[in-house]
Amino acid sequence: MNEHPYFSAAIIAKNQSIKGCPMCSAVTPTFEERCEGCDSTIHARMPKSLQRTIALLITACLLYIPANVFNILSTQGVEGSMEKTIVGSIILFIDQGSYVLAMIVFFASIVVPIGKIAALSWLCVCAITPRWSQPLRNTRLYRLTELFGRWSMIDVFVVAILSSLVQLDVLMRITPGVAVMAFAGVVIATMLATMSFDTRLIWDLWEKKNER
Amino acid sequence: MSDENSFEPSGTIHTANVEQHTPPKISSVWLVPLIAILIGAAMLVNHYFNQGPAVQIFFKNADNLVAGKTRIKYLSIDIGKITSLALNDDDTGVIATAQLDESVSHLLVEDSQFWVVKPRIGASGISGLDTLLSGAYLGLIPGYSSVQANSFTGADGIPPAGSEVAGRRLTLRSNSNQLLSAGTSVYYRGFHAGSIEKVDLDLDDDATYYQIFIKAPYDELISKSTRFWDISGVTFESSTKGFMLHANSIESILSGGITFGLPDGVKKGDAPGDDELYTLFNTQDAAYAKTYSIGLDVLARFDSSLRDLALDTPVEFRGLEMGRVVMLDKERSVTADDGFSHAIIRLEPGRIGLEDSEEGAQELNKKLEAWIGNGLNATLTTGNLITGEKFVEFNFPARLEGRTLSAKPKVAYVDGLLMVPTYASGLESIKDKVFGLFNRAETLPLGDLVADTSKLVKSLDSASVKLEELLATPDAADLPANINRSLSQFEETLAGFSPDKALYQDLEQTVFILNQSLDNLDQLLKKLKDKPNAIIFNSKDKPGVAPKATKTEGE
Repeated sequence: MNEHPYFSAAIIAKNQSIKGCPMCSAVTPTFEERCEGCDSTIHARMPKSLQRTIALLITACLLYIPANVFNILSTQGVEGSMEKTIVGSIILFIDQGSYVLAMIVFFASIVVPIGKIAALSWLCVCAITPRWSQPLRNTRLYRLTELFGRWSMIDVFVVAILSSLVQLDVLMRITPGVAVMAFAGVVIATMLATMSFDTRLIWDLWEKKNER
Repeated sequence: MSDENSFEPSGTIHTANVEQHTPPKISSVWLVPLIAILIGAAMLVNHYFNQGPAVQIFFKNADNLVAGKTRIKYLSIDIGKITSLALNDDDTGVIATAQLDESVSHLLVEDSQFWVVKPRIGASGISGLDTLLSGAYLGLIPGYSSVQANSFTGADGIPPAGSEVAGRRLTLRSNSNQLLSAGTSVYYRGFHAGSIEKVDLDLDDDATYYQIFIKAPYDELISKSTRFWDISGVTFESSTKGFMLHANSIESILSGGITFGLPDGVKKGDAPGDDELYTLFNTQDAAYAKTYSIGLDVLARFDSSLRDLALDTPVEFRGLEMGRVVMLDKERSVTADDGFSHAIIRLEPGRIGLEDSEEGAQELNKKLEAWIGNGLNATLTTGNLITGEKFVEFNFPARLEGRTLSAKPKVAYVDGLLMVPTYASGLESIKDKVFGLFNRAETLPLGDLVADTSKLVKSLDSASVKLEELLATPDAADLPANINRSLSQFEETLAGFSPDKALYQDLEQTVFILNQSLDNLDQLLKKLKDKPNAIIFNSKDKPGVAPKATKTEGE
């Protein structure tokens, strides 16, 4: 991993006491608060990025509990009413033979959120402890997290669409459960966590590691 | 947590400058997980507090019950569902575990009941139709106890009181052989006032016990003196008073029914206690009759068939009902040497204005002794001539018939029962009358009548013989020939008037002339009628003067 062609030559801007402006790409000395080019506030690193990310990750973890414990939707129909949790609905789909649907729900509501939380946690750990810092791989992981993270909302959308469409009064009625709110909270928290993670932190420890 | 801004880059020139802007170490973003914890905790706490009690309900079988699906409803509101079904310990039944809402936990008391609501068709209509599509659900009938409970025995089938809450439960005891089924209606003056919830046969008591529910506001009518009776079907009864046909509503005819009320003159008593036991009477008369608790049993011997007596035969004292025949003492009737029919009569002192108590009975006994001394007799009298229903009448036959008692009758007791003397009057007299009627019919001079009739027939016979003889004489034989001759002469006479004869033509001419004369006379008469003076004055016609008005109008 150290054998990346650019790593030896890589020079971290912050260490050169300069910082780049994300707006106009101008390079400004670290001590300047504002960009010399476009006057926007810039930071060498996003302030409290790790704290924010970790806090939001914890939030996501906490919300993930009610999201799974409570019912995500309830169906009231002529044959009685039915309430299902996320796992319960996956089992129901499997029982009914809708394996594709079960896969989609499983992917969107279990794999993606858990994977996202795990990945971001790993990135945070790497940003703190230089020993496990593998910048290139971690950057790829981050990109992956960003790419798939948004698809978690699919669950919330499905419930929202179902409950607004299936209002057939006596015949069938679908109402969202409490878990939908919690699950939406999980997705939002992980997305914000992804956003607040400063990718530049991945690289900061690289030099330190190399210095050892 | 390390803060990235506290991280000191190596070889930085502006360290001091960076430190100047060091913000507070802890970011405010930590509030977010805190809020999440609070919300999550609130949700969990809310959930567990709303979850309410879990109860166990025992059923004989799990018909129509589905774990996780069968709902529990109270007044049609969803209050929970069955979470699991399992066999009980000795595999004789099913334990359904149900999770109920916290809001109904106060309804789960000892005598609360659960029952399976299924579609049901009865005489009073169809119920539970909604369960056809949704499957059965459990209904809850809250009890009145204040003791909380979490295990119940599910009722079998029939809904106890529908969804009514307010009302009163009563127990009725019945000796009838006719069974009313659970769900049968209870009426008050024709209003649907409740229903039978449960029917039990008590083998020890050999009686049927009905648990009935009287819904509000009819439950306020129930008191200790309320009487219940069966109004099922059509009752046809014949008694000394005549024939009676009782029929209630079609529903009660088909599926039976109970009604209740107060006998005339009986005041509404105290509110019944929780374990008040009522008797279910077979008829309204029976329900209303048994008003008196104390009776005085007396013995009466009748010199007539026991067939004539029946249980519950009324006993009247000069028209006033004072008791009933309660037992036909067959044993004594058979063993007694006199061959009399023995009947035990229960006289109720309360009926004749005496106190309804032991003292009243004593008093009645004394009175009876005095009356017997004065010649009181029990008489079996026919009350209904068509059906032959009898009643026992207490009366003083000697006084009625103007006799004087030869000796003062003695008061006797048999096995501690006062013996009332009897007098064969009613029935015997009727029998006598009937026999007398027959006897009189026998004495009618029917024989003379028959003899007269035969005499008449004989004279008729001789008359016809004489007629025959008359016809047989030779004159009678010539009679047809004579008649024939007369007829032919008559024919000849008529032939003289035929059209070709001169007499006929003359006659015709005469008639013609007469016709003409009559025509002339007719004209003259017409003229005379129009102008009576035409026969005196000239009959020259004058032009009639037409009225002017008519003329002008005509133009």
